[in-house]
Amino acid sequence: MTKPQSVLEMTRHDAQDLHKKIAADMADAGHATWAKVKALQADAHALATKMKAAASDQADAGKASFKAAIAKLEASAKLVEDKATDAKDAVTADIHRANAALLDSSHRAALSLSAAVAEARTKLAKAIAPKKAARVMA
Amino acid sequence: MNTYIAVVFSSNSQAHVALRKLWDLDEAGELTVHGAAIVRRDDMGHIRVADRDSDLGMRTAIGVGVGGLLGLLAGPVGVAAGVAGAAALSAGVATGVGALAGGAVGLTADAVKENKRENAAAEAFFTLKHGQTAVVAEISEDWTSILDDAMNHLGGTIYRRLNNADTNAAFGANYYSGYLYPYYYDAMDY
Repeated sequence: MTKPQSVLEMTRHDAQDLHKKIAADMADAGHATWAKVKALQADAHALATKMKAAASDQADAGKASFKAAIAKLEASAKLVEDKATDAKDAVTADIHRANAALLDSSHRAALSLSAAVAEARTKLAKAIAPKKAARVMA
Repeated sequence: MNTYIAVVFSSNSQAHVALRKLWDLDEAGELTVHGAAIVRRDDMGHIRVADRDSDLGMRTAIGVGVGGLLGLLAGPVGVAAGVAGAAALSAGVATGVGALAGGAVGLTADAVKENKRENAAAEAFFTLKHGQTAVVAEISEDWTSILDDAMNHLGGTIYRRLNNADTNAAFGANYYSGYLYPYYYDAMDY
């Protein structure tokens, strides 16, 4: 890490890590278990909670993007919850379906967060740019 | 500004270094990478995405995303071919974008309308020759010099297309699916 990370950047890392974990679980299809999917669901739920907290600081477009990503995360988590009631009967196809929904929602979350991070960085760049120019002039 | 980019290298290994550098710049807050991938055009003209063994769940999505992005970068000539190529994904070791898309991005975009010429001059059309490798990405950058300096230093040639109203009007807002790797990945050699 080369600089302190903002809350937004750290939440983006969480979304990226979740996406990686789900992709790895899907690749390990032969050993994928419902317990692993449940753990990923908990991570997705935690990510949705963090995004809700960060949403209030976003501009309108960002808020809408966050809202859509959170809805997707919650829908994918719900899919896992519903299936968990009959987890004993869960077959590989169910696990794959649940993972695919989680993967899609974590990707959406990562994109929304990276857009928000980019916007925050642009604001910072604009604030710094005149000072940089002034230093060059001096 | 949100930009679609392709950075072309004659060396496969330099493209891998460039992908790492791109995400390092993101980590440092110099620019923001929304997604990126490595593509290579082989001697037969086929374009393949360098992926990982563990990408079974997203291989198709990434193939479609890269196909759309290549079409965007190649200009109007590449649009239909990019979509068709992306739809014809192979299920091999590497994600295929298809020969059709490969052919399209090798073309100069002669079909650009006159009123788009000014824009076209600023956004040189992407070409990927046989044997070349490119890092393709969607990024946000506040100063283009940061990417220019980093990639020129590695010997890459940068192609940009702005993600703006003009681009979306020409290609459709949902033309590119937005699906690339949303973080650094250790791409396989192929």
